[in-house]
Amino acid sequence: MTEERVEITLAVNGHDERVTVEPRWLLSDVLRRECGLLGVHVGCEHGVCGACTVLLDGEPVRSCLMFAVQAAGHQLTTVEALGTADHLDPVQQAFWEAHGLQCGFCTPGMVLTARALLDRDPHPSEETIRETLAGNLCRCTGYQFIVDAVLLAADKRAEGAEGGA
Amino acid sequence: MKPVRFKYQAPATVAEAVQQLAEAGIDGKALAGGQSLVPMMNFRLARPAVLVDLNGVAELSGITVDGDHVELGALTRHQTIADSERLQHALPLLARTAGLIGHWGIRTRGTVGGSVVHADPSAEWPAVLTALSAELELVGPQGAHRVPAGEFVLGPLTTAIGMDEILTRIHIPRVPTARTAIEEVARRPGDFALAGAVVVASTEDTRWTFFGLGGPPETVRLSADDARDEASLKRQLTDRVAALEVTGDMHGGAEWRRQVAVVVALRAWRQVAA
Repeated sequence: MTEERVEITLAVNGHDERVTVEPRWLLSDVLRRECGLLGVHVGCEHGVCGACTVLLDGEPVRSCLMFAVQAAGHQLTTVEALGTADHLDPVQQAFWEAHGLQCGFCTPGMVLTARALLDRDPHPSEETIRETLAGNLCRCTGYQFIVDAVLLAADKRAEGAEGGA
Repeated sequence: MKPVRFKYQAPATVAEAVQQLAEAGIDGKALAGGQSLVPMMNFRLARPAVLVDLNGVAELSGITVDGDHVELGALTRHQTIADSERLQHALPLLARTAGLIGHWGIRTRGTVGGSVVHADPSAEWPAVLTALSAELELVGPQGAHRVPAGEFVLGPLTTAIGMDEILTRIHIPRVPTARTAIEEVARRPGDFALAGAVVVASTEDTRWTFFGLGGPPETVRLSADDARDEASLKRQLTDRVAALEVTGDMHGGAEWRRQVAVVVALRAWRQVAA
């Protein structure tokens, strides 16, 4: 079969990226290779590990289980949109302070899932956090510090909201 | 770890999708949420030459609730069903079931119709829809017809759907007097169920539909008189489950799965008996 390529526009982190892709290219690969967003980590490539999690219209999805052509017309958010080294997102700051990461490979997926959870449920119970993060594998931390980080992030966001009012 | 090349089709209507599948014949495959098909394509266990992506077919999505029945568009995502307040009132078993499936990042993409047509033995939907006497609306080049959910799954990953047909809508009768529950055992929230049971209790009888046992959903029926006290119920369920065909795997042998099936059946029953 001849190599078919299509031009699509991906709305990533608030701006449009025009990319030419083969329909078989996974969203994870296109975000990394064509958009240069290396915070999208490719782990298992079959939907088990959650490292490639991105937000599609604000909800977490496995970017290894979507073709890039399918993401046209949706709003994508990767970890690059969250904070900068000087101004971390409250969720990132909480992961830093609570030691919610070691090697960092799972962290973008963890942080994005936690962000989406807190947008939906600003004060989740520990049980809800554990159930939500069950879809993201971490081989270093033993998860306790990640759960602590999400609880801390909820507090930080509540403080931030008060401070801003 | 990357899919082979395929021709990508993005129909906007059911009619277009059916035509594209019919033209592709045995080389074609319909793509719904992709949470099972895309992993298989990534591993090249599935190599469709033509992929018909149903995600742009708006008429396939949506939840309709009226007096005596609920209708689910086949492309409705698990998370949409789990979050639906209307379903939480009209048929809470559906919302509860959707919440048991996979992880959040899977439920946001995976669809009820895709799950039914994929027919994984550990999937919740084929069992729940069988237990609720749902009907599946299939559309092909010859038009639409309905198949009872209980007759749709023929075996592991095998159903009665034709290769040029798509599942469009799921019709579920509401029986307000029936009490329902679902219970399953999995290693972590979101993992595949090692055994699960859906219970539907009415004034005449109680029916348990099992999943995760290796084959199509299996239903066991006991009369209301049989299901009076837990001790005798446990004996009867143990006998009935012993007669079911159960396949073991690396996560648990057949005998162990039978025991778990009885445990989840009793847990579900306690909810409807309370």
